[in-house]
Amino acid sequence: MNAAAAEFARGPARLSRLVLRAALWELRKVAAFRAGFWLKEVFRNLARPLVMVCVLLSASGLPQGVAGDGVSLQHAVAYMVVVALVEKLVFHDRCLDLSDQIFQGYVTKYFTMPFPYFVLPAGRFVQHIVLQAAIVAPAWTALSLLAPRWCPPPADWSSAAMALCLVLLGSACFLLFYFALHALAFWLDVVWTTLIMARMIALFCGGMVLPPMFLPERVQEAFAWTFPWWTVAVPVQLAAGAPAARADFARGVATLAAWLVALSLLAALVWARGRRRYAGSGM
Amino acid sequence: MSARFESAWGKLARHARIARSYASIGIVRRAQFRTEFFSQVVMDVVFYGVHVLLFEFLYRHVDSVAGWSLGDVRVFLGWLFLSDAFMMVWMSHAWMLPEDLKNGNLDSVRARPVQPAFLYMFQKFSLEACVNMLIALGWLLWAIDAHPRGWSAVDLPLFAWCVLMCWMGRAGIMALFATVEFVLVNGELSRVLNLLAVDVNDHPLDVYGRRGRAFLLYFLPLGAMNYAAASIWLGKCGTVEALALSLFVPALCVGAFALFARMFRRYESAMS
Repeated sequence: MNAAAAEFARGPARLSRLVLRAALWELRKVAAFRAGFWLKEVFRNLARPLVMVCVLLSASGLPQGVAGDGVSLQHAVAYMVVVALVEKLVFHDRCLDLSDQIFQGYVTKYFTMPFPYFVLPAGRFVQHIVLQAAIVAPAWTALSLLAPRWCPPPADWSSAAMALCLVLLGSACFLLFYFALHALAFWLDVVWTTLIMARMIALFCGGMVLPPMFLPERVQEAFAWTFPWWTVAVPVQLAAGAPAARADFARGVATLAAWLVALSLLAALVWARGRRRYAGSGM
Repeated sequence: MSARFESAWGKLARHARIARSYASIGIVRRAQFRTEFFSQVVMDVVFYGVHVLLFEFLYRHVDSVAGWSLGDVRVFLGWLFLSDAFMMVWMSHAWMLPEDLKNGNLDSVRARPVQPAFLYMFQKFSLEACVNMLIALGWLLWAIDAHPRGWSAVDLPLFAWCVLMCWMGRAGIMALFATVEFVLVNGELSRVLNLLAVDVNDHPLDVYGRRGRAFLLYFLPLGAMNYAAASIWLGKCGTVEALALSLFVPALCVGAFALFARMFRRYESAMS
């Protein structure tokens, strides 16, 4: 009995070691091609928010100070600049290649290995967070020193910690969400359309396309039921020290925790059903 | 002279026959996968919806963006959707170039006596994207009709030319970006550049200032995909620039396809 209990206790520790080892290998893989590394890891997701900054700066009619509806040029631009940084921590669909592996019949080999397949996506998640944090932290520090008006530093340590907590929880939700969508390859001939569609909706709901201050109240309330909203839109405002965002922190954690549970169940269900359907020779 | 003309006509006819074959194969293939058919149609509708909502919400707070009114931007989006739909109908296979190049799957393209960029990139005709093309065309016609500029029968040749420019510009840019793969294998640079193009080009180029606009229109010519057509249609550029763009975009398309054919000689078959 004691031996069984010890074996059971060793399980999570063993899985954690495997995840870390997978993360190290993933790191070696992404660093293997220099051009690809710079374009995919360093500059990824920077274009869209920066284009939005150009749009805002070239718009006429935006008040310089905060207007009655909370809209101001400086707030909007600063929000998008910080989005460009924070969004890099969010796990994205192209970090996974599960659907390709299903289509080509490569996942078979993982079924024979003495660990769950999810160790590999979890390793990629850890690698992604560590690498992107190593890029974002110095970039945010440098930008906030060079141009504090357009890229303000976090208001204080507690705001930064709360924002980071939401981003990490939300990023884990994205991992599970994209895993479930990739696993639809067990049934569908084409998955990339579903992934792109989901990504576009998530970007819009997460305030990564347009600053939330431009969205009507009802739209904001609707988006607050979704995990992308709490992954980027709220943490960015929280880091800026917005009192409303600070007050919403507990609601954000609760919402993301609920999504995390729901998406874990969904991913497990899709994976289990898909495995039963999988023929092993490519779909 | 006559022989040369016939030869050119013969080449064109051969490419048209290949395009027709690709289309019929695409229709048969898609008839077998109904879920995917609707999935792609819905995906592009979401793409259109996100862009429309972005500007509709933004213009509640601003008067204009870089001199473009809401009506202008609606027309601009119509050209963007039309250009995107063309890519989805004919050129979605260009996305596979990095893998096909790496795995040495291009031998069959090398062995055929036709333009390699055309043969490779146009091979996956998408029937579902034709539905999106109709939606895009519907949006464009609505936006043009609702715009103060309006239109009449006299504008039809200009409209047809702008549509052609839009498609030529998209084909040229995709061929141009694809050539990068032959230089830096494994970098997936064409994919990154195409994604970058989507992000940078889905707003009027005037938002980047005069120099940024010139850079993105003539040097890294993303504007050839839809901005050129939109600005000519709306009269945002002068007559001289409109004429210059009308020469530049077709030249870009021909030049990019020729460059692809030249770079294709670097392809070294399996696992290069």
